[in-house]
Amino acid sequence: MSGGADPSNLSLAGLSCRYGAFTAVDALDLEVRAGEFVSLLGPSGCGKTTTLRMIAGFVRPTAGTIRLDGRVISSPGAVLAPEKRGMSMIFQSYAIWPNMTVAENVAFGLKLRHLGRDAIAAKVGEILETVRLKALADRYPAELSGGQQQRVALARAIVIQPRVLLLDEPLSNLDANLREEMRYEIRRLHDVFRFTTVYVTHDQGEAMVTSDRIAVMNQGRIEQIDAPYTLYTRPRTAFVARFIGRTNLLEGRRSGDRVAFPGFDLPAGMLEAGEEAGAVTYAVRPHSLALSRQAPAAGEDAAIAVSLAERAFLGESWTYVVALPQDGARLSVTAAPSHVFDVGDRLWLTLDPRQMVPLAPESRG
Amino acid sequence: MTGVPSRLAAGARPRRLGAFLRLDPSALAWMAVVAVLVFLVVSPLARLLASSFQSPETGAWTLANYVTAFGRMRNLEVLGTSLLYAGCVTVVAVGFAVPVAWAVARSDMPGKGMVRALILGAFITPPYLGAIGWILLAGPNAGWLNRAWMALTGASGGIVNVYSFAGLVFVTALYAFPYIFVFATDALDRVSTEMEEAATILGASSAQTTLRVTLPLVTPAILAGAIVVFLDTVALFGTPAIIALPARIRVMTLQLWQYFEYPVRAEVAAAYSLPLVGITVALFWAQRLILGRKGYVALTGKGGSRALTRLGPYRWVAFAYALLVIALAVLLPFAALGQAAFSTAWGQGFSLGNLTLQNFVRLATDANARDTIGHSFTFAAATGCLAVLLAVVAGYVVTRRLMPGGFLLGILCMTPLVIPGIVLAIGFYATYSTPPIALYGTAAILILAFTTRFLPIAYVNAVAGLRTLNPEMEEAVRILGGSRTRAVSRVVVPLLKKSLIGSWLLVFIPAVRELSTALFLVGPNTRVISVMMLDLSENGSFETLAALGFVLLTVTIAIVLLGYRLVGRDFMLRRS
Amino acid sequence: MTWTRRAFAWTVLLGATAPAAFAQGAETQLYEAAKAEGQLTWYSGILDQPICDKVGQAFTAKYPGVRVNAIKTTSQVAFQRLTQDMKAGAVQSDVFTTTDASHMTFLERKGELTQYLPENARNLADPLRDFGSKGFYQVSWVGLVALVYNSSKVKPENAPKDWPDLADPKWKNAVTFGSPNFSGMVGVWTIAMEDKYGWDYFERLNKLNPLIGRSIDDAVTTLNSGERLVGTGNPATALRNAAKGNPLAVNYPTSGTLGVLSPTGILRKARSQNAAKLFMEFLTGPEYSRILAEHYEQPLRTDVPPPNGAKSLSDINLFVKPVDEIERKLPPNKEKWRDTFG
Repeated sequence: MSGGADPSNLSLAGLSCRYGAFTAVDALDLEVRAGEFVSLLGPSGCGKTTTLRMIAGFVRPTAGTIRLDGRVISSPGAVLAPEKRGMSMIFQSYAIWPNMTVAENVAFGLKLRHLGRDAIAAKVGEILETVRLKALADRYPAELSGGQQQRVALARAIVIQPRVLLLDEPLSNLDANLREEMRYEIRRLHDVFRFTTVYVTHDQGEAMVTSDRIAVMNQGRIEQIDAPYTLYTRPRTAFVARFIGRTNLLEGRRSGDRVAFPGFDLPAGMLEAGEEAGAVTYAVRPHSLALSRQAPAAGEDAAIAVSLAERAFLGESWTYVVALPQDGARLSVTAAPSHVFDVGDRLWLTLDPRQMVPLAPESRG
Repeated sequence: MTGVPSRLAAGARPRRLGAFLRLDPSALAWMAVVAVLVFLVVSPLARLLASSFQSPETGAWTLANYVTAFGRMRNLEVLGTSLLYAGCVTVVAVGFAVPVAWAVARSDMPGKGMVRALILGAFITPPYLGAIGWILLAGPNAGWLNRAWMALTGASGGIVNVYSFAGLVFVTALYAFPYIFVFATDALDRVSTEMEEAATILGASSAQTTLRVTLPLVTPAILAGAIVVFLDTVALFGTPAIIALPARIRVMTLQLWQYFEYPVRAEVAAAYSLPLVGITVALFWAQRLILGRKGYVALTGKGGSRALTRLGPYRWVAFAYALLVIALAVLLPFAALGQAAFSTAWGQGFSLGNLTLQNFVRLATDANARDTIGHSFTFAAATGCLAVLLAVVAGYVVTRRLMPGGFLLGILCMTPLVIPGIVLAIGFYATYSTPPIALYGTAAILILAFTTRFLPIAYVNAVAGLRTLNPEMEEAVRILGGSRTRAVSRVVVPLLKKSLIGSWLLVFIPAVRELSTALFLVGPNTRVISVMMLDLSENGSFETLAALGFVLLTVTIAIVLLGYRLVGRDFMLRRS
Repeated sequence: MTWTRRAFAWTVLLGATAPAAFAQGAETQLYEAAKAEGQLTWYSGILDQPICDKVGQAFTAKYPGVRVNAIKTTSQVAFQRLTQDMKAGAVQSDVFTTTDASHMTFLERKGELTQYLPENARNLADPLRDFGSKGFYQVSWVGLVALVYNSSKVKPENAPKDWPDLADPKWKNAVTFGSPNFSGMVGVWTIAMEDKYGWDYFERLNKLNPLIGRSIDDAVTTLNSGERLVGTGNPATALRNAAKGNPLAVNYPTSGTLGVLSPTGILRKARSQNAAKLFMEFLTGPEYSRILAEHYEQPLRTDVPPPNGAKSLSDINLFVKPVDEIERKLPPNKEKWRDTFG
């Protein structure tokens, strides 16, 4: 497989991976379009790394298939060896080879593709320029800082122009500032090269900055896959709502044309709601809520009397925690720095029913 | 890392062999090498196993050989003595090896090069030669140390007696500890200073850091070396023959020897030694138990750096201890042997008229002797290369779980060491001296037998090295388009270069001095030094024997120093 | 069979018809057949490799075109190898020499030896000639067991003269010898001493806290180092070392020196039968005995003078133990040895 192939589209269908009784990945479906950047986001043990390693060809699926441009590359019966997939990968440990210099690390994949010496030198020089490592080309990895090592890993992976670029928690070993910087670096490089990319992370911030779409994974399944904005504003499950940003969950019960919540109720017509009666859960983001000292004028929004239980000032905003009157359930509210309240204040909480997102009932555990 | 840990994931390698082969052609090469390996170890051992259950006359199946071997209390006691002996030797050897290894690898002790070279000098010294040296030093009546003591104090008797259990353990440990030394320095060289700094910053003293952080990190290496020492001692014949016998201590190998006196009962010898394989297995379970699930020194691919512990005035204490160990193992015994090597008649003691270089001239001018010395070094070198190659492949297949039953493959690679050389040689001779594979009389049969015998050492070292490599570094090769073979040749081998050269030496050195296997398999044109030494000791040419010991020591130290030079730039060390 | 009847048989069979040397016609015939075979392999449990090579070269010098592959190992190893070869049906050696005569009687019983009475054997020293009179094997090496002492620490007049002197209490902590469990020669010595003096002899030796080595030659090394003063050893080893200037001396016991005979036989299934027969002639001939004497070994023939400082076989009151007696008495003696010496 020669370098410089066009980006490919990747298709995972019914993909499962079982280790004995433990199911790491459970009948997973995913389509990654050519040139798209998709993140697999989820907590430890959700199966995202296993999924990535199945895409790379390191792990054999126990069911399902992986197709690259329509051709099956993994199935329980046959797995195309990783070296024949034309992909590249960035590992959590970077896995840059300490016995080779920076330039040798980067040139490795090109040599395997039998490029001429001059062509290799030119490409290596170019990519090191791009990742700002040109001056360190002859250093050994042990002589580099963590961020520099990370950029070597990036350069080594993208210089071969992979059909698919895989990243396994590449930033988790960096300090916070560097991590912030590298997110944008990764996105910048994607904008330059437009490789089909699958990125595994447990950090929603990283996923939001880098990705075209994010697949939130839980217990071996994809809970939801959407663009970052949609995912944030329209989470479909409580798991997704909780995992992406902070959120408040409101448990309600629909009877007739009203939905009753602890301490207040709303007409069903104002809410996005299904037809059936019974228990319903809504997610509402802390900044969709507002606090005021006076009862607001009656209108579209619902207003509830609450008391302020906790507060924290974050510089750009306040985070208040209020207790609902009926069962003391707590909700987080984000407010502008100028809206100052004290713990113990009796306040009015206003919520916009249009910003309340109904969630699918929890399917499992 | 999230999700399933990568090691577990790597463990889920394809179970269906057919598909695996079809899709990964380099796997064929792995399989072939593993098959060779199995063949090399399994067929001689299988032959021994079969013969241990057969009546030599009729070929019928029987347990009689085991009854003969273990049916008597006396023989069981001997077995117990052997295990006690090996256990004591292991403990003493750790005491010799670990402090010196730490000082050489992690401190600013002076004279490191000399200490390293002389410890390898101790390693090359055939144990029986070292034992003879120690008889000259610590013989109760005429030993140098005892005579010096009597001259100084006017006492009527000496203070040390080599012919005792303590003497036996001490002398054996002196020539076995280099195994642990080599394993431990290799691992200590790789401990990142950051780990030590992390302890220091929390308020640990240097000593605490060393004892609580550094040494525990290299426990697997020390343990691996200790296992090798234990197994090697159980199967050792030379030192017990020279010291245990006069001390009236009975060990297993001495007992075993008697099964080769007429009437020969080789099958009883096989029955007597095969249960030792059980000891190997038990040791490995113990090792697993001790190491548990703790993580150890890992080379992550993020690089590491190293700084030496400054000992201040204590570096002279460290140096004194290292000097003591090498004095006991090399300087003193070789001084005693040197008296013989440079004498016309060693029994006359020191005198100018008795001084001569004749013994060396005789070795240098005798074409037979030159050939023999040449054979030993070339066969041992070939053995080193072959054993390291096989060990890396087997170790790789086991640690990366490329095939089911890896644990068994590991055990198989470990068993030959504990089978006494003479018994293994019989299995080998039976398998490879008759058609279809008639290798007797060739260099190949010696090299193959040495390889089998010392494979365990290379294997233990290879696995210890491979465990410290993060598999992601190989996966990085593969995802970029390189095969497994390339991952091993371009990444694994270069990263383990130092450790592999260490392995090579660990095999090369005992192969140079190996006697019991060689004795059985040498042909007219494949004589080796150890067999020549036996001849010389049998006809009482002690002067030439000692001179040969000196040649062996000098040539090996030269080879070792050359080896270290070849290792070249050490890319892991930033701040040394 | 008594000595006189055997001697008679020899005289009738060979002595009367053949001249003093190996018959010209028979030798030529054997040599021609051996040349056709071209080479022979000799497993040797005696001497050392350089001497074995020298023997082979001398043979080839005398009989050009017939090469000798001499392989020296210990007798136990050589025999074990032979057993494996026979099991596999591929005998690799033509001629086999062992320090353990039981190996030969075993092979003889199994019908694995070629019967051939070398003409040269007539001129071996008496007790040696008798040993191989059936023609299955011939003596190729005599290991003598005598008294050896450190001559710089023990004056000749104080040195033990006969076997019982060794057990004298004055040698407390000063005696050394080998072990029958590891040395066939020492084994035969235990049988000989028990016959002469009863097992009590060893009980008395044990009271002297002897240093027990492995082989018969360990004693010589121990004596040379001065660690012990008197012991039993092979005069050949002691004299070879004494010739270099080492403080060693030998006393041939007045009541008789023990000889342990190492036989050589031809393997029946070997390829080079004729070359092997020719080699048997060579080993019983004068050239071989001269090579032995050059290396301080005891010559097998009375017509070859002994090495410097050594005595001729006829002057040492030599006595030997028959193989069947050794086979019978050795195993219980090994047990008794353990009981006595631990």
